[in-house]
Amino acid sequence: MDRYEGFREFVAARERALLRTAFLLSGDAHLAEDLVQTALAKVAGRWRRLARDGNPEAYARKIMYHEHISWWRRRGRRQEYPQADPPEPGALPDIADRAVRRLALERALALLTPRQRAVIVLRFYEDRSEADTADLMSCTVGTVKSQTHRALRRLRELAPELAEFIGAPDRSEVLR
Amino acid sequence: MTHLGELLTDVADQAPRTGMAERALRAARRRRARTLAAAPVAVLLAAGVVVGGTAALERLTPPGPTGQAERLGVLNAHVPGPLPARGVAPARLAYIDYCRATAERAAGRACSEWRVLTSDGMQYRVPHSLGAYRAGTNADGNVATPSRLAALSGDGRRIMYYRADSERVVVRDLAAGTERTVARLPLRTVRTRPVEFVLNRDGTWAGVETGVVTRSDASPHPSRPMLVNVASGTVARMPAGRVFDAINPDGTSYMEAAGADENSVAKYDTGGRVLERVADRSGFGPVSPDGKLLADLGVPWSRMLQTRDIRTGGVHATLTPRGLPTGNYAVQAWPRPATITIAGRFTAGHQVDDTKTGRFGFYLIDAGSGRIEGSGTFTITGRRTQIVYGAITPPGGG
Repeated sequence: MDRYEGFREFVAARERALLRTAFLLSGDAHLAEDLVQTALAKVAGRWRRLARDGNPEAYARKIMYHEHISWWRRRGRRQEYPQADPPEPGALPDIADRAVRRLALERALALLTPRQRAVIVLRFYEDRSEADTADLMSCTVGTVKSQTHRALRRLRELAPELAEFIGAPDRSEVLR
Repeated sequence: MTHLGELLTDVADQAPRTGMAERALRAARRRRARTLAAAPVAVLLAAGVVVGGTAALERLTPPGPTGQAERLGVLNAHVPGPLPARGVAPARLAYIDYCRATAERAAGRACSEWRVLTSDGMQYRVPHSLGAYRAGTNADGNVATPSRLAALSGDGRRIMYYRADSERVVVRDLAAGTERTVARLPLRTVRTRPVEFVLNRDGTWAGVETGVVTRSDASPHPSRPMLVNVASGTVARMPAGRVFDAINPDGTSYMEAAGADENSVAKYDTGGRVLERVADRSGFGPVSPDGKLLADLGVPWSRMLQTRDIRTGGVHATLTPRGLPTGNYAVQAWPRPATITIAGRFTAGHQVDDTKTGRFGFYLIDAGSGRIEGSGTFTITGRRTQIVYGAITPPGGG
């Protein structure tokens, strides 16, 4: 019996979603692949039990967030995230250009710390509650709140043209 | 999704497209080879993982089974009343909700206690029980633990849970209202280490696992699971690093190493001694009433049910229940020779997308033909939940 029975199907179904999150976390296509591969290798190592009892995707995501932060710690912030000038402040054209906004956000995200990036991805891309985010990042809800606040403020500073898109968390989410 | 969420989605669209499965498997095999070469003992102790109750999903696939179908609606629309002192019908399932807002927190910890849904359609909360999301000091009133702090016997007549008020693990007879203590666990342990409970078919034997599963593979916690005779209170310490797959009516049990190793399943006597090794397999499901076969879905979203010889691992029958909605299922029990029960959360394809609400279903499947004989569907709003199943009965109870 194949110890990895079902693993390939799991990866085929979920790798795209994992890569999207990994890309948001790392800001780099190659790093995103490495991040996902590292997570999936660990999932494969525990596949039988995860497939039977657990949620392999949740486990993979948790590994990705922790690996993302630990890579940054090992390699050093300056090497991993070279500084770049923030985009020039100013209004976008009346007809909003999604590509321009995307590039502005990419540049701004690259200047956040890994924890700030992670909290932005978890709260606003994956739409997770503060408690879930704290659980995934192994920190307190208070830390999530403070990191979210700092990350949003930093994003507004780095990309003021996106200010109208960068709002506070929904009230309902705060209550969850 | 917020505006920022939409922008992040645009960024995520730039992610690479690639096939990762073979690369990940090669990395896993290299990692496994290194681990085995370096520390063979560590492999036996290595832990699996519980993956939070923040489960996942979904855009729903409407259920469309054959047989009788029952719609139970939203289970957690309100906080039910406490268990009566006695006279409670067998439980179909138990689940936890969580505390959403200040108003609920102010009303006490009832919002985070386990709740049982009984075969007569009643719902009760279990006073003083500790959910994995329990009332705490955090801003949203919930504190997550990587534990599963309740179990139901296969006949639904007994519930095993952690009493936070007395820091004991108890088994309660729902009809008689009596409780027996099977273990004492400090609240500190329950808060900091993963704990799981197991009850056998009639609730006469209980398993307590502490610290087997971990939130990070970097910090495994070896453990000595306990096997407790509920009537006498006799406790046996089982081998460290093992988890219960099933406990038989006579107290013998099937256990496997907490990691993902081959040939790790064995049958143990009530003193923790190995009786026999069991053939390698990808999963160990519930055992048939005669103890000769087991049922297994292989992977959670598989809709192909296999029954296998428990000793050789040889496939006895392959069943494909027709009309089973796409979902993330597990085999729950094999209560009668002709009936296997499965339950799970509906999904869209293999999708495990995040959402705030989960729809679930349970199914009674003919062990000979694979025909769905009965089913029930229900919703639990919010994505923080855990469910344990007891006596999955046909629509209308019974």
